[in-house]
Amino acid sequence: MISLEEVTKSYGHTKALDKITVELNDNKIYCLLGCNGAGKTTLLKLIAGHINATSGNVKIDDNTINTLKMPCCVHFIENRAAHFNIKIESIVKMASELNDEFDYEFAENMIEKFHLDKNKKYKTLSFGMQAMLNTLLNLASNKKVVLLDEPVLGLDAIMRGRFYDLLNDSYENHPRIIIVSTHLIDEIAKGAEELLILDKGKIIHRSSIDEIDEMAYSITGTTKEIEPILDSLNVIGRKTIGGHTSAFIYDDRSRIPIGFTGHPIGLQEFFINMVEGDSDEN
Amino acid sequence: MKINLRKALTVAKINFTHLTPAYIITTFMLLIGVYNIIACLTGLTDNQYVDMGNYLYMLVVTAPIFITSRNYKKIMCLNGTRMDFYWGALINYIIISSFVSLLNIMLYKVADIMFGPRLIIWNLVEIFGWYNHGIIIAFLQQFSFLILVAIFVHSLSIIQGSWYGWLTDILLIAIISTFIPINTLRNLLLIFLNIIIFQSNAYMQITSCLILTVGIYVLNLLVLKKRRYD
Amino acid sequence: MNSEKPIFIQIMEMLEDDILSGAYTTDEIIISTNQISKLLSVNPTTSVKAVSILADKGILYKKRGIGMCVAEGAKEKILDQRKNAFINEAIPALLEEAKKLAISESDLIKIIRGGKND
Repeated sequence: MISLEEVTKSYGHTKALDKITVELNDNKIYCLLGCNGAGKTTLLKLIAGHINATSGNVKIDDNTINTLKMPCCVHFIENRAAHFNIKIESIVKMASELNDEFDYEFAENMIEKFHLDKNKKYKTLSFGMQAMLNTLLNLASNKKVVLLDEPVLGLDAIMRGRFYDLLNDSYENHPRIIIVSTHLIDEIAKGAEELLILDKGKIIHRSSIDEIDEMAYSITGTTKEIEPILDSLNVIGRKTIGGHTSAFIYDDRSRIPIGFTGHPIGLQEFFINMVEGDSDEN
Repeated sequence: MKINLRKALTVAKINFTHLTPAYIITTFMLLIGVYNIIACLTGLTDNQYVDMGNYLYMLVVTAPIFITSRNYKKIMCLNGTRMDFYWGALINYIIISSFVSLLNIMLYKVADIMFGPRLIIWNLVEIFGWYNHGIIIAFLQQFSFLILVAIFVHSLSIIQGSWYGWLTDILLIAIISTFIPINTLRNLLLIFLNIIIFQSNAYMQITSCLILTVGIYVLNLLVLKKRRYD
Repeated sequence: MNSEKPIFIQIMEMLEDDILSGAYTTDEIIISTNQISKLLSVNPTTSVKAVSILADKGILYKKRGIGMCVAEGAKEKILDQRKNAFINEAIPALLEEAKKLAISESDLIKIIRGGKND
């Protein structure tokens, strides 16, 4: 469905994405994780045909796409989209005119659910409300591939909860490929099925969220007793403080030596360790 | 690069609804035109005035500027495609050029009938020699010229901010400032203007304008591919 | 950290394990609460709570200006505690589960001794 072959995107001397090869075929909610500047937005823009790759191919449904041959089944409105400064209902109307498959009813429902004032002009909305509107437009588009770039940025906890419900409902009614890029890792775990971690322009991890739940854990103890057993395990990070070591491991649990307990670590810790790794204080 | 007519029309409609600055400027100019007529009729100025219709040309020049500098970005933000924008803008210009051409000729005709013998009315349609070929040909000639202007301004506006934009700006300024004083080069310029405007052979004028229009707009595709909107 | 037991209990158990295994001997200074918080990515107040409870139980004591140290007889105290917990909590739970699974007492003893269940 979506296929990137050795895609590199450079802005001047900076490589935002470095020879990325990835294929997304199944209908799922994918979560794209990465630090600021890791290249998440760039990746999404490439898939949507909003920018061109410096080298490599981006293919949607086996067709190579670029900014002139934009894919017709991908919908991406960024968070910081600069819309016309008109009423929300006019923006929704405009979006529906530019897209035959737009689900107008769904959009109207969501506007009510999120207490967005239809008559408010775009620029008068708070950043969180703008993000909500753009997310809603993306989901209502009914396209086969929907990209959401940090959809919950600026939303309070209650709104975020509503968003995850909205996301899951939308997916249930219309299973498709939804890629959500976010910082709020543990929350998205409730909805996303697969996780991709982007770091410094490369995809450093890809697996289902369940897998991480099963295989990511930490073992803590004195450095003397922990160090020896680490050789046989896939260690993704460790912390050594005050004579103790906390080792973060991504491996089969059955391989934990007897006498040691593996404590499950949340997605956030998993992510931090994948990206950062080791910290040593005496 | 196929055209999706429905989407293109949607883009054109969006453009028309969001051209307020262009409309304001044009209206302001039209008011100057009205002032001209009144001043002339009440004897404030001598027996000649610049026809109102000429000021409508302002719309042809301002619309592309705002379509490219403001609307492009906003349409892209709503997940519009570049090709929809490309064809949509073209539809805008076709409609604007037809409208201005028609209106200008009608205003001139009306003014001609009302004040013909008494006053001298300056209208580009007359000055460029198009009116001599009859109303229909005049309309087509003016239309071709106007759409060339629109596409030219659109293209110039859309390349601003990039290196080839700067290059084109410098080139144009160089041409205008050096070609005019130097005799042989000025003649070149006059020949060019002759072909697209003053041409006595109407069909050649129309064809040359349209060919240039198409040529420049095709080049636009190259630019559009690279043009970012953020 | 494990999501089953409260975090402060997990910290207490970690320190008790260290004392049992001999990693810390009597009067030795243990890892500071700040270090515990960093190591396990937990709230400092939680670490402080764990250490205070151990101090109350007489397993740790505070040496002024230095930190928390292992008290005299800490190892024995911990063993005692754990034995009690084993007898009063773990065993009854085991028997309950065996009952649920319809494993008789004699079969249970056989299993514990390493034999097979018929």
